Amino acid sequence: MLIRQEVFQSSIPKRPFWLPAWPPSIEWLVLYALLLALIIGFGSALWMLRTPYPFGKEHNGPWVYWPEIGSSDIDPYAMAIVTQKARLPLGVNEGLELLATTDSTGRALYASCHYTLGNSISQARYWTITVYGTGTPAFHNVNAARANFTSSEIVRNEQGAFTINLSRDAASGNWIKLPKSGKFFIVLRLYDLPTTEDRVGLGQYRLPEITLQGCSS
Amino acid sequence: MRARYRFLLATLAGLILGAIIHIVIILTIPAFTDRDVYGLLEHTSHDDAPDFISMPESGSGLPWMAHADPAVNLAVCVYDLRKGPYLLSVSGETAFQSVSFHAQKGNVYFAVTDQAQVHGRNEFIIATDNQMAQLVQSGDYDSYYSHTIKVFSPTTKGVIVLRSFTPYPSAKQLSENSAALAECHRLTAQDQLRSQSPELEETIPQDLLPPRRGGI
Repeated sequence: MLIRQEVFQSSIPKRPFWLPAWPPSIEWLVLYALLLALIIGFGSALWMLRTPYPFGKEHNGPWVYWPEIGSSDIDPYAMAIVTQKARLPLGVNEGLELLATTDSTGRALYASCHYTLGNSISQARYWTITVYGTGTPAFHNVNAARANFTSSEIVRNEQGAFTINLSRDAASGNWIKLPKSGKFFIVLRLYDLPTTEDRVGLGQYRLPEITLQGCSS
Repeated sequence: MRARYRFLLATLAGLILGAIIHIVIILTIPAFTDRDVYGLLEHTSHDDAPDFISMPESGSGLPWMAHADPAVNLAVCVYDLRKGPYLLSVSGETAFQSVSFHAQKGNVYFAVTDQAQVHGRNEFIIATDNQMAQLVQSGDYDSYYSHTIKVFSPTTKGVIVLRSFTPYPSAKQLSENSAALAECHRLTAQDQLRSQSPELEETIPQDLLPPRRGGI
């Protein structure tokens, strides 16, 4: 019996230095619990502080927005992000920022493709549409090619609708030049919405569609 | 079996403690960060002439400025109420102008657009609850500042942001002028004087004033 056990023990591989002998001692268990707590605690907190804001997100087509960031209802995670990244969010009564990182079908936006953005936006006193590349500098203003439009500049058709072409190569009508390569994102800013309630009920708002027209390799 | 039970108990304890650490970190970040918006902009404020500073699109010390709206001129005024309340005056000659009031950590506690203008101006008194109560009790508020909007700052320090919209690139100068003409300073006896005799406004050189609306 004794001989058999010795044979069995010699057949298992030598345990790594960081694994305790089984059963583990109380000291090892305490150390293990503390390490686990530190890794889980700091790791998850840092994970949550990546942008954009983790909670309170609303959707409307390809657009996402956070209606409570600019109010006193800001949640603790958004508060930590605003503080840590030294942001100055738009106030509730000023306007709203909407972000699109995909087209209307949910595919990521690539600078090598051609998109159209249109065709109407519900009521706001002014709005702006700006394209940002993911590289640096984020706001590409190369060769004076425009990367943004305001509601005052846009060319509209007889019905008051508009279309903006997003592509690297020049297009007729309203055109925003895309960055040289990589992904990009679009920010729509609505200034002075009729009432503050409207920004919460923005799900019914008409916001522009982003449509993929084709890609060049 | 008993050893396995202990190990599971230690894991559970670690997870619970981890959750507590997570909550503590998130809730205390605002208190422990000194690179918040106030900390980064504090150097722009001078006691003699604290006023609006137009932020350049990059290199302003605020990393996110690279993602700011290029059609908006953003100007900031950093305030510290320990030596007294502040007076803010915005003329709103651009197409659209809005003011947001941020507490020291950057969160918005009040915001208003140029729709709230009286006689083409938006004027505000920024004070703590106690300072405002003093202003009202002493009668100064009713005598001199009744045309201003009362803004109660939740913190003694904070940042005011003035956004001037530029509908066309050619209107850029207008929104820059408008930001340059906005006033943001500690309340002085001169402000009382001026609110009594508006003709003092006439002493501002005319070429400093932005062109009338409709001139775009």
